[in-house]
Amino acid sequence: MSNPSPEVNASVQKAFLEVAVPPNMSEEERLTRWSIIELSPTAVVIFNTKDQIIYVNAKFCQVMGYEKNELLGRSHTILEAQSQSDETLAEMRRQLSSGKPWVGEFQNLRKDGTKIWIHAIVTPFVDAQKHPIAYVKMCEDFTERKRAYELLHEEKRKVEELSAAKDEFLRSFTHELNTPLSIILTNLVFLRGRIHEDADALQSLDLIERSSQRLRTDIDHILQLAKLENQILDKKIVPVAALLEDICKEHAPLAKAAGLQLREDLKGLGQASVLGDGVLLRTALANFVSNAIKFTLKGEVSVQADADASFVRIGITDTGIGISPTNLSRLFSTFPRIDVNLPGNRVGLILAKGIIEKHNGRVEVKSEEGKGSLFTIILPRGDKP
Amino acid sequence: MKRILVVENETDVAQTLKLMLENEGYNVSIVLDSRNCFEPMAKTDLVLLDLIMPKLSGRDVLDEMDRRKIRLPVIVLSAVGLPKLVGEELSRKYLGLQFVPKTSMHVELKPAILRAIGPP
Repeated sequence: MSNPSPEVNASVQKAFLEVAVPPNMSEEERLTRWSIIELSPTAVVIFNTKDQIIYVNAKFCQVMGYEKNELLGRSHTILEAQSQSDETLAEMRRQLSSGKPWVGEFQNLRKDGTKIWIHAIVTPFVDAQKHPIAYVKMCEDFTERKRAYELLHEEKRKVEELSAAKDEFLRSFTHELNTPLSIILTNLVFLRGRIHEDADALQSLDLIERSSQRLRTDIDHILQLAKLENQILDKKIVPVAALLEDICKEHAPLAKAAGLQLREDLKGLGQASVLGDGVLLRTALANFVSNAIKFTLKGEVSVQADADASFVRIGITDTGIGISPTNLSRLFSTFPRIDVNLPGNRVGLILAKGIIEKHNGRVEVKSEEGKGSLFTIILPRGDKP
Repeated sequence: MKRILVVENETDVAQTLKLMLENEGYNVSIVLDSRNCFEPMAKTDLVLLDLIMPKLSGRDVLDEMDRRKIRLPVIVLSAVGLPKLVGEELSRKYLGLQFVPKTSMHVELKPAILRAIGPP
């Protein structure tokens, strides 16, 4: 690019002085002010109403890759990238011609042809009649940041896509598992009707049935877990004492068969209720109770609950095998690298915690190996006491 | 003897139902390709209908039964994930429809059949 002629230089200088130096400013003040702008780490360009560049600072030259004398007197539009949306430019011009500053982002073209993203504040200089006579643009090259942001955005989109694909996979996969399982269970009923006297065969059928039921519960839990994130809750007032009484009643035979006491102490609850999906809440709380029964060899499981003005607190205590500190920290992780002997129906527990959190509640666990565990479920109260 | 028509594309499910229900004393016929289910309905007391089938879905079968004015009790064998809304919509449209999740067939099917047509 050729340098501007001396005439252009002189006219640019004159225009700049008209814009930048108020008539009553001393030479010293002028120098101080402009050396600050000249040395500023922010890129600064001033152009007149005909888009002619009348000032650039050193940083601006560095950002755009030009020498100062290659820009002075040129049209400001040489810096505009062709990909620039016309709407952005039109919007900026409209704003500036009305005397208001404009803040925005757009693409500029460097001397070497590379496009860069600029974040700019453009402010009009106005005359005594408030008419714009020039514009000062302070800008920052944020290409790297924009690229990092776009990369992050893209990665986030990919993760979301993968998560949706995983959920879809789980949904269709569990459906496929369910059909053979229902065939097994239905045929078991048929066989049971045929085998009356053979005690060993009946016991064998019991074992097949229990394992199939367990598999079915796990499949149901995985399916529910896959649905949970995007599920819209069917919220109703759920009285907590009635729900817990029901769950305890339902689990009494299981506890009895395991030789355990199942105690309930719900006096502190009063009429407290939570606002939520009754079916999901039942699943969650039942999972905590059945988990406690399953992993307690002797002693008792107790369900204790109370409520204050804001929260309902449900404690499920067992005298079971307990959980080691390492395993405790990974208990609710979906993809844990965990000891093979980690006890617990983890799918059920993860689902239960997910349901409680979906209801704006939380789950706390205290456990000591060999002594037992305490799962505390805290839910916001849905009624006014 | 009361006659039950099983409309189900999965052979193993259909045969299991036949075995179980014949053991109860019902007369059971199977149609694996749902497009051929309408003719046998003339000699049927109850239809057990799968919802998800490749050629003609359970919903399509219900629509076609409606169009042909075939009035028979129907028990829909639904998958676990049957959205509540779909179930509600179908129940509104076809009065008396019963739903039995496939995973609970072994427990819920017999009572549902008794409700629909009584003992064999």
